[in-house]
Amino acid sequence: MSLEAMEWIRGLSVCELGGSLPGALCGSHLGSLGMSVTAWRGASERVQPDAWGWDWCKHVRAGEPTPTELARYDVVIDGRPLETEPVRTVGVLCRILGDWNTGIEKMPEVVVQSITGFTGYVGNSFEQPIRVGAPVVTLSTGVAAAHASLAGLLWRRRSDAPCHVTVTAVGVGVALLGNNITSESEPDARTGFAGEATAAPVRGVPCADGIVDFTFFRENDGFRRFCQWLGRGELADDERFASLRARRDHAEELDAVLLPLIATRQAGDVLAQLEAAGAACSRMFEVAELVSMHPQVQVLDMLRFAPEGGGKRALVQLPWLINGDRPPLTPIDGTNKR
Amino acid sequence: MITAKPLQGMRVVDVTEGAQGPFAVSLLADLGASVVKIERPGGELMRRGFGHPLKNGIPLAVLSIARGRMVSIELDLKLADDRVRLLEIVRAADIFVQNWRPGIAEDLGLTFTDLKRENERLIYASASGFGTRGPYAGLPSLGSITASCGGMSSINGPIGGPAERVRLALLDFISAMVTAEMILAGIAAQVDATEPVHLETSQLESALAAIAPVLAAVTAGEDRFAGRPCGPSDRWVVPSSLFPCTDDGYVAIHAETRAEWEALCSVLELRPEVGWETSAGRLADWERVEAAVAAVTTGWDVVGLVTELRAQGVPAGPVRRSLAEAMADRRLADEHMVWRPGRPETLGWIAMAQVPWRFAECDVRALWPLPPLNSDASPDWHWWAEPRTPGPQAWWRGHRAVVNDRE
Repeated sequence: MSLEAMEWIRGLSVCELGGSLPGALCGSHLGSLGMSVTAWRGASERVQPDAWGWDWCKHVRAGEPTPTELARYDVVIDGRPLETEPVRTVGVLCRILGDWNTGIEKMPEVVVQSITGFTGYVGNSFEQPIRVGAPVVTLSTGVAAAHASLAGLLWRRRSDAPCHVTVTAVGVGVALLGNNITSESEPDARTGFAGEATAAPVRGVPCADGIVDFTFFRENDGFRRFCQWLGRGELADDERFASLRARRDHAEELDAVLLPLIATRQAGDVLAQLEAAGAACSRMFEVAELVSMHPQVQVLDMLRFAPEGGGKRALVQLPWLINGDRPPLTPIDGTNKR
Repeated sequence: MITAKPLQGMRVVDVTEGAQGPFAVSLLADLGASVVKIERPGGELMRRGFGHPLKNGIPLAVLSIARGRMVSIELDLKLADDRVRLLEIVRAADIFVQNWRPGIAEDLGLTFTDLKRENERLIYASASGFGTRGPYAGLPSLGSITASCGGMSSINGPIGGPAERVRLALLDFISAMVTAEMILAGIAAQVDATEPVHLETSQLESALAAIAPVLAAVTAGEDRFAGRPCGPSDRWVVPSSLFPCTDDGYVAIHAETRAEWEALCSVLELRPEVGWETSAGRLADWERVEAAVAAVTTGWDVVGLVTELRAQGVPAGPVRRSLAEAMADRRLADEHMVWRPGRPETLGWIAMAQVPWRFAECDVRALWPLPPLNSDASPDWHWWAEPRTPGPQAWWRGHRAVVNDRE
């Protein structure tokens, strides 16, 4: 089945209201699948989603639709403040809020990350706190809104009744912490270690020409071979580092031993040894390198480039394939093409 | 009153392990799908703990990551007899989800091509680490490492300091949400059609999606941090950062619009410099703006400042230094978490994150924890053997569990 053959999806229409970033991403995903998306935008001082390619596959209109126009849409994505009068629709209404009792603009990325505890997992939480650098809550809230819209459409299809779903940014933030919440709910099982339980070394490891990130998971024999290559094979017999659990419990001590041994070596050599030892490992790529030199990103063929001044702006397409095709990020009707 | 959930009646075969695949399938279960979990001999990898907190020898994380399964069945897919049993289950299924490394499905004879011969309307979903083609395809993956490969780690860390990974299985959960979205799109693609659907995604693709705004800004020369760590700050809005208070705590403040900025200045009695009244002006002078705000927040305690800012319409919140501290917030816990009995019952009660959606017309919520290996969690499992009417979307037209009072 080709993307063009997805007739039911391609016959659906979507209205996006409010210009919230998660709503814009949700609309972008539904548009990439072939739905006809109209984004209604008023004047706004907030960051505009068009700069990130999230308006590319939409018709963009100024102002707000009339009730008659609204009634024509199969899906309405409503990212407006909570105080706004709810939309009346015969289709699917996906409302996006910051929290159950606040509008979306009251719970921006930095606030959600802070109140849900992401800030305990970056940097040293006992010094000045920092946040996760990527807008992970914004992105995931947009994806959750797409879940809600698609599930709502399926539900409406079999019931012939309207469907009303609400998605919250705080709820999404909590969902992203899911397994940690279960672990932390048992006081006797708490590790006292604000971090991924299986990760040691704790941080990326600087080499002579870049940073390498790795974790020995189950591969104790591989850990031994890697230590032997570093000239410290006896570390694998040290009870502090002999098992995954022991390495986790003594992660800072392991870092103190390993980092100086690796610092003078070439990243390529270190990665070759880690791969041979069966460790999960990667060079820590910088953002600009993803475009210029990342061999796997080039194979995925996920980026598209729009002219920007004398250069180009990288835009990211949908992160999946349907029957071998990646749903395209295509400008329509001559609007929103950079 | 319509009570059926969106995916009620849909049958999912889950052979995934770890976090990405299992949590994606959990979201489908939350939406009403009936899930059979196939586990390797001894149980899936996450049942073994791997350093995760244990209670009575049982790792707690897997209970919520793989929640909502109707039944757990132990099969050794390297054995012909067990593969025959799996194929019997697949023939009665709507969706098959795997997150094997590329090559394993071929070795087992369980590729999309193999399984569509058994079930001509199957939705086959695969979720790998780096994708099924290319130089990294066969490498072992772990969410935090793939995040480094995909640029997510390079933007974390103190401003001007070294980049570092997030000590959290964040990409596993983001890619799980992406995988669930992909499967929902696959279900929608099959409406009014009978052909099988093949879906593929990877953690690396989710990592690129997660940094899409940063990627766009860096390549267009618009990122003031040039793609490097941004510490506590936002890349696009000033001020949007974490500010110190008098009681050693911090407050997250986000003032993007003119109204929010003016309200912030009013609350803090801050005298802004000329040019700071526009977001572009604050962005251009971001270090001095954030320093000016930080200089006055130190005269406030966390609770007092958050209360006053929210009252004046400025988005703000207390900065939690750990998840345990966040979970101590009763309102957050009451609205976004749910307590369920652990399995076996000796585990007592465990907390799980509640679903991020609320459906007005049906009760969608996080279900029970993963049942023990080779156990049923729901007596409804037996209906998998019932014959169904062939044709498009048979899963909802032929299933007795679809409850619709209108019909």
